[in-house]
Amino acid sequence: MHGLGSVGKLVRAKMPQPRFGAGCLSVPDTWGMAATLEYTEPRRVGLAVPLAGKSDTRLPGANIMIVREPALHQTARGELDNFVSGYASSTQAFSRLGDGDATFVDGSVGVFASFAFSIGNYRAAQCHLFRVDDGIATHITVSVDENSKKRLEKELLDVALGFQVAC
Amino acid sequence: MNIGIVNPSNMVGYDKAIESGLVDKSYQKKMDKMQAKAKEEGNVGWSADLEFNKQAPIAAIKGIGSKYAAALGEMNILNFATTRGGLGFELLAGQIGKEGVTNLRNLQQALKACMA
Repeated sequence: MHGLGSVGKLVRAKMPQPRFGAGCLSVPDTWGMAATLEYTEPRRVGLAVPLAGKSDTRLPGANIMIVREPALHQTARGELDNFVSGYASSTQAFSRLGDGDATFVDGSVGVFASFAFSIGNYRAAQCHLFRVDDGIATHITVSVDENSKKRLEKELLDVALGFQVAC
Repeated sequence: MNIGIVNPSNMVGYDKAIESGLVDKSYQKKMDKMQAKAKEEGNVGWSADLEFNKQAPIAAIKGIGSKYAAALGEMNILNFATTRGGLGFELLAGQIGKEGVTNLRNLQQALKACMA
């Protein structure tokens, strides 16, 4: 399935790139380690509908979470499959939107899969991208409300593919 | 030991959890009552928080997988009561494992993306 297969045609958004170093800490070798970075889009303003007496509505913003930790599998596909098998069973009304290979801006090839599912009274859509570099797995999660799922393929996946190990 | 460096602002708050329909009304009443009592006694510290945690029933949180429902509720409660989200993750890691924490983080992101 390649529901989001038009990734390569997207125009990369020009935007300033905030940079955070993950930092480091001296701990025993036996400790686990993971670095997490989150980007949160501000709330958006929806269209007003004057004839219906509705003023501007506030729409939730998307968010992107990046988690880097030692890889459990040698390939990005292995990481993705391992994640999906557990995640699918932890959500309700889970449906797959698309999946495929994805090339990051630095040339690294990863894989992605996107889903929609229910959470509470809401429906969310997420795209999960994985890549493995030198034994470190990078898991990028792009989240939107399901009404905005088209944004996953039209703009947000492209932003996520801009991930680079060293900025 | 697991150290979770988590910014409390990343957590979905109790109020938001109620707004989203994740918290069952009867449980909400119980929580409100306990909170009022704790305030009355001038005690909004750990004893009250832990009391909340002990009583986070799976059935109280609706709409997501039961395995994580209680845990998500517990985090909300921790955030609500103490804003010490890091400890929330630390507790969770012991209860649902690394995979559970990963899934929960992703579920939280999904929830945040749905709440304006």
